[in-house]
Amino acid sequence: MKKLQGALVEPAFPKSWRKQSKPHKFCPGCGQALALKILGFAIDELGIQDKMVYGCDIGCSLLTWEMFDLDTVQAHHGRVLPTMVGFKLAKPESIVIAFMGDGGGYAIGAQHLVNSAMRNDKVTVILINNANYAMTGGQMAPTTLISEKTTTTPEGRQENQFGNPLHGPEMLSKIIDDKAYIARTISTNFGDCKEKIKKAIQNQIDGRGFSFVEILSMCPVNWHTNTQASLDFCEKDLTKIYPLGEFK
Amino acid sequence: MNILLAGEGGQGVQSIAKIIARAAQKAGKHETYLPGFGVEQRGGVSLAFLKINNENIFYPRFAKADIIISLCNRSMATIKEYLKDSSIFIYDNSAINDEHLDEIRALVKKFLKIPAQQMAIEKFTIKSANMILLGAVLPSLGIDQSAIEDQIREEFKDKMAKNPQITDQNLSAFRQGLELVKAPMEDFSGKAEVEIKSQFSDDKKIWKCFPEYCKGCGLCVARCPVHAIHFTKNQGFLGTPLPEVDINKCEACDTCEKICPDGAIKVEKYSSQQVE
Amino acid sequence: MKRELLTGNEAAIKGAIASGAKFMTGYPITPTTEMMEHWAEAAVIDKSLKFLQTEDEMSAGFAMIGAILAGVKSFSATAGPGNILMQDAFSMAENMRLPTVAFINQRGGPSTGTVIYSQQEVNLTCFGGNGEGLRIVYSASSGQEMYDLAIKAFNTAWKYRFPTFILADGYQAKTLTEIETYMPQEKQIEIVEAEPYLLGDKGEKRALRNTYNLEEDLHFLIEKHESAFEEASDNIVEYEEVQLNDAELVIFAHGIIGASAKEAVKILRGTGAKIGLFRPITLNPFPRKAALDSLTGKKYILLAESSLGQFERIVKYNLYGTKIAIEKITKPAMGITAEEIVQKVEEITRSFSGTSFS
Repeated sequence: MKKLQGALVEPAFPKSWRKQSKPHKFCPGCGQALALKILGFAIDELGIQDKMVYGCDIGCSLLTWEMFDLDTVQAHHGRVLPTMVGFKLAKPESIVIAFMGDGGGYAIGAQHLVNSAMRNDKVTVILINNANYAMTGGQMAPTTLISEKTTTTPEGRQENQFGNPLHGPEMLSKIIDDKAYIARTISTNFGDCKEKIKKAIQNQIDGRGFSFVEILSMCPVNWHTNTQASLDFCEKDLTKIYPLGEFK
Repeated sequence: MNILLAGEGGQGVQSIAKIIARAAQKAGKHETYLPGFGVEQRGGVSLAFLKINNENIFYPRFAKADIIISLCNRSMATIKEYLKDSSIFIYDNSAINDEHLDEIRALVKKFLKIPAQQMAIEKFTIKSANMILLGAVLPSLGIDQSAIEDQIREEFKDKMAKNPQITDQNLSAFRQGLELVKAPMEDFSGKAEVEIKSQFSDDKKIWKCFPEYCKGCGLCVARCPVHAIHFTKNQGFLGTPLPEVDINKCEACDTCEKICPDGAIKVEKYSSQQVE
Repeated sequence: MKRELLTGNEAAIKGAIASGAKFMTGYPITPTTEMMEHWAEAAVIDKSLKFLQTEDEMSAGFAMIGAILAGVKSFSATAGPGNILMQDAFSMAENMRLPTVAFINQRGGPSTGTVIYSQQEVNLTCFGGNGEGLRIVYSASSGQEMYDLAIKAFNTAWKYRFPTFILADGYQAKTLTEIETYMPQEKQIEIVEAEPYLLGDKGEKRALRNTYNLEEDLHFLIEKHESAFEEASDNIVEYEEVQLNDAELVIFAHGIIGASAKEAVKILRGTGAKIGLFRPITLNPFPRKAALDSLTGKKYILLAESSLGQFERIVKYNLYGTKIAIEKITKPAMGITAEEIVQKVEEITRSFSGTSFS
């Protein structure tokens, strides 16, 4: 292909994205894919590609198994965090990321999250919160809002049936060491999201301790929302229940 | 009878498979319907395996299909192994590029060429392209038209509250497919390759949306602060609409580049441009 | 080489250390807890040893996997309900050919059962998880074997890359007896080196997964694993034959019941009875050829196990086609003494021929 004057031939991928696996398998308009792009840029800027191991969970996060040009392992549901903890213990000079969703982190993997935070393991957890279990078709997650309809809460989540939504960063902030870093951000705010991710990974690079970033994300397919409605639900409804910020 | 349907996730392959299955059962036939289901919600090709028989069916999969209905380019590789000499290949020639048919050209002996997507966009909505193909396959099914139409009504009954036209729209699309089948089918061909203008520039900036990565989600359109981006009739690799920019309105603020989950939009200002 | 008074649990840990293991994960569970404690103590003195007590057996299994991915010889140890939870990790290791090593001290099951003894985790250890049983399972019959097989297990695991187990039980784990401990070099045992799966110095980034989109892809993966397993089997199988040559009845038993049967053979031979023992040391891969060969000239087989038939199932599967009568002692959750075996052998001979063997 003849390179025309000023022709753009490279798409806007982070350097740490693996080009051969693109286009990736995420749905159109997916907030998780957006977060992964931002994570890619954060990794580029930190320059740690060669000592980083990326672990992913099950659910939509398993689609990231060849997302990055990083050494990657896809683990079982809820178990990516202990896998990364083990790796880090065996190779302390590495930088490890455990990437998961609201199910892997707050349901089936909750005990690992709590205990890893308690131990102040020097790992970085990045958790995508889209208020449902997306890969399996939109069931209730611990982060589903009250009255939110999902396939297992067809009339909307009822407090007296399934309790209130789980606030992960808030919960972790109660049990962590001073040297841990806990934050919540949103995938639609490129700058804030990248900054929080970088701070979290830097916490590990500096050897201070556990770091955790929850990223609010859109899920148009399972929310059954169009583009604007997806943005609204994420930026307005979710942030009302899940405030953004850093938690100490 | 073994029927295989293949399309992109979201094109409604499972909807028509379900309609056929239920109608067959109500008409007193034996049927099995098994959706193909890999891990992705949307990123994979959506397959449906249908068996309709007068006798009991035990196993829902088959090695070869009597009828194959194809809605998208990416399904060719998958359906190839199911073709036999007597298979009827029903395909949307307004969605499937001619060059993608090369993969199976030598294997297809009987076909029905249906411009479903084009007709759907012109007369109904793009989402009813699948109904047009349902109409096209009806004569081969051995099920009464009324049985299928009853089932269509049943399927869209609950959606009427949000969209009162939806049932009629889909019935019309279905009947349109039935009409299209009556026309003579000439050559086995698909959509011509279209030159898509995906890059726009002026003396200050270049803007490009890569069709091979864009999934038509519309975030760029929704977020552009000066409303410079809009959808076109061009299609990306999933058959979804491609956006384009009014380069004169564009302020190269990078919002679209940042919000795109697929990294499909790239904006560059000329000041640091390398020129060959 | 030293002769030390050790429990099976102690012997196992010393064997692991001798074999070059550097990382242990675990969660307390009787009768295995002492293994973790011994390791934790050893790790205080030897700073090259790393230890992680996790919140449950699932994370113990996965943290072990994480360390293996980093190229460190790692293991865990559990029992009963912990074995159930750890299957999550073992099945990932089976799919991805990761050399996990785990000590399983069988206790009564199902459920919480007893904390003491059984041979009821054969199914779980050999065929647990949602896989095809492409695993290496050694069944120890004594504290000494727990030491010997500990050394062997890490080498086998890292050489052939299948999840590897040392199956024992609460009795062996807690029995204090004299064990000969040694370094591998003293017996010319070559140590297989570990190497990293990730962040090795190979340059190209590796993406490892255990999920596949198409049925065919997974099918071919399993076929590949199976070929490798078949090819390695001849080098891995181990068994012990006791006085088989002229025996008319052969006892099939494994683990500590194999030891009990050895005693029974001694007693019976003392009375002139022509009894022998075939004791598989690897349950998986099973020494099928040797087992079938051992049947030559035999009139009876007696199976003995502390389970309702978990070992029986494996034996019968492997001896398929034999016309020889198979009798059994199946005693779930309880031990079987040599005397019980002797008594059963005498019953068999009486009922079949009306006379005894001698």
